Amino acid sequence: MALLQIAEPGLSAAPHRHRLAVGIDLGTTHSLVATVRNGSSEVLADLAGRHLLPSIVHYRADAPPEVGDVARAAAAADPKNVVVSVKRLMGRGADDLAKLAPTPYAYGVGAGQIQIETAAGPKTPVEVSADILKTLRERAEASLGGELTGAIITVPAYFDDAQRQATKDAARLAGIEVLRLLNEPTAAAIAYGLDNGSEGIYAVYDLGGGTFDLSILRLERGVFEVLATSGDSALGGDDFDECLVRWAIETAALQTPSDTELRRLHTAARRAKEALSGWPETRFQVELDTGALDLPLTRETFEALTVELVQRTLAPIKRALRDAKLKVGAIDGVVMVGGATRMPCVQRAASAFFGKPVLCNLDPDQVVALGAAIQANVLVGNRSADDWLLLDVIPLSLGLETMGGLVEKIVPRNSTLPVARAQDFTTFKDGQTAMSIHVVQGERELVAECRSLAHFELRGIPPLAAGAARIRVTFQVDADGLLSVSAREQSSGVEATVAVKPSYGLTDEEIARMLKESIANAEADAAARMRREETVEAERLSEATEAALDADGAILLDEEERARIRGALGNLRAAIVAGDIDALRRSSGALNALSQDYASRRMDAAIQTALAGRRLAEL
Amino acid sequence: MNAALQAVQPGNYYALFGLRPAFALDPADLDRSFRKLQREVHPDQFTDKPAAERRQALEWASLANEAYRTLKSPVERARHLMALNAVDLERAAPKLSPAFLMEQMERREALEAALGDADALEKTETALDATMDQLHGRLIVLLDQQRNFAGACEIVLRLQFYERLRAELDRAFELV
Repeated sequence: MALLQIAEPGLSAAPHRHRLAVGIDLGTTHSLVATVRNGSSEVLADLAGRHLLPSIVHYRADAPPEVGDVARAAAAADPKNVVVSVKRLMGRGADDLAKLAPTPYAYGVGAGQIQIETAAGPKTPVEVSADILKTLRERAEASLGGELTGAIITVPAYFDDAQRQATKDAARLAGIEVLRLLNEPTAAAIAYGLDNGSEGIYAVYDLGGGTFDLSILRLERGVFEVLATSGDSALGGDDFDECLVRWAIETAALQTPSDTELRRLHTAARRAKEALSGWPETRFQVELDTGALDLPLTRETFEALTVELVQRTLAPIKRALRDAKLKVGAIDGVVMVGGATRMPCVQRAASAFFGKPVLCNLDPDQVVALGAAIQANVLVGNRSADDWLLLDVIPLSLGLETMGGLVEKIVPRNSTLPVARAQDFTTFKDGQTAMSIHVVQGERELVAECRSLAHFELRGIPPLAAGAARIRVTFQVDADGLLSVSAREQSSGVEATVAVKPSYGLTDEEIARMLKESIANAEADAAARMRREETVEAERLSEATEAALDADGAILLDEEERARIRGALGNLRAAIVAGDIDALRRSSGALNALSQDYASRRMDAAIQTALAGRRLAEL
Repeated sequence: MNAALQAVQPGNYYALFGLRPAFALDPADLDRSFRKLQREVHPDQFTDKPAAERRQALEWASLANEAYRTLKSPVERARHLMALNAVDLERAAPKLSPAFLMEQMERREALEAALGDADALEKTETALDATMDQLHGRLIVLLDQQRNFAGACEIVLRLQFYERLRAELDRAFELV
């Protein structure tokens, strides 16, 4: 662990440390990690110099999982134990399996969520993703020579709450401190915007391996404001491969190919698709159990086979434009992101729709990770003088189940994040002390057609006559697009407890159990990690308090208040230095309690001075 | 709600943005104030701060977004302005003329006839927008010049009918 640098009391805060932060693009087909070094963003390579890590994990009976190219090499020989495109399963439940393209794995269902049966036991999509993230974390730490402070993980803009939560859970499981979940098109826009120094309204067309996102952003004076986002979380380059596989099976009149053959057919399809991005014709070649298959394939045929997939991207674009209240002509530029946008038919369709040439001068595979790294660098405090603000939106409406299985919307899609909405409820029966609330996400009017996010159970409502209790439930969606719920009975002020039963996600206990299991029978390691997290939080508190006292302690606090906070700060510092975790907890709690009101006053002052056009320091 | 939120009058969105309370509002002024405020309070500015400050930033940024959304929408802005002047729209319950209700029915029929036809929907929308713009003009006179809140109630109520129609139009466009 790095040595702590502590400034002398009264002097300015600790000298600036460069904190290690990365951006991670956790993709359907491949994943990347990038960081900002010497002022520019770069993708980190593995020892063999490869930038892209195939998002493939090979599970073995008595050995640790293999991730990336080695796992891909094993795919044909051991298809049942090689998990590919796991992103498609994130945050999904058993009832979604029927809608997915066939895969060679055996699925099991544990507590409502999908599990893949492997030689290393059942694996949830979260665990598989965590194995990919762990590999990237190790790559970053080896390359940067230190422990990561934190990471931004990118997600498709169109991911719902369950898919986002699953991604965050995977990062926790991989031992990564998540600074923020960032939408992929927004990350790409950061990379583009800063490179080109442009202002205006941009559309980001992001067709990845398994997801399609369309975001419309306004870039103006250091603010990236997402106006609307739309997409299809089950449409991507994989579907183009699937089309070619079906075509090959039909053309060659193959009888039900085996799992191994299917894997090879997919590999051949991907190769043919990629070849056709550069050449007008290619050959679809694959070794089957019955002999070699070699079919000529032209770009024309390929485009005819996949025209419907390309068309499917247009409806989300129209929807986003309407939500942003813009006409097509208002778009100043179209940015292409994702490996699948290399296909000429995709570029042509986007260019024709917007009536202008598309921008694709940054590597579409790397641009998301590069943008995420730039934002991560800002968030850990390695700020430059002219930093920017990022305002994103919630992609899908949040609603509540009402009578008759209907949905009442509480947060409409494309609301700027963070967003909080309060809703009042009352009891139905005399003396009722609990009630259940069902939260769903989606645009349809029937609960059954939306995604179920969670059942919230409110307990501890004071027993009153029916209809007399007023329970105000607050739905808070944070900047990551994640929902939390709190409730309070209005007449008595009683805080109702909220118990969440996520429909698909993991409970905290499940995460804790997985963490324990993943750190092979080493309880000590789990405890050490917890201690480290608490120490980091305590350091933050100490640094922030010191900096605040220096900046405005003399203005906003009286002498007695200042002395009390200084005393508590001293105790906390001593606890950090001594590494005494109990003392650290106690003194953190004490300082937090003492400085709560001070923090409010600072925020207040900051806002008033900002709006009056003055900085706090000028007061 | 914590002390700081009360100190800055969270209930008055104009004051929050340092704007003069009026129905006529330059969108550029609103944008500028909103961004200035978000730069101070957005959670991304607090990632390396202690948990209590992060929570506070979340509340503030949510409030700023809500205030921005309210002032940006003409009908919600009018309602907010009336609430600030202690005018309760629900209690005032102005009567709508039979002629207006008749017109509503006609518009609804026009919308139904236009379903599935993007050009016809576009025409319906243009007509609706023109009507709404006219009413916004009336609100400037009633609210800002005459301070006739009772008279404004009826206009706001009408606008609410049109807003609902507009939401239906949005859904219809998605099905084209």
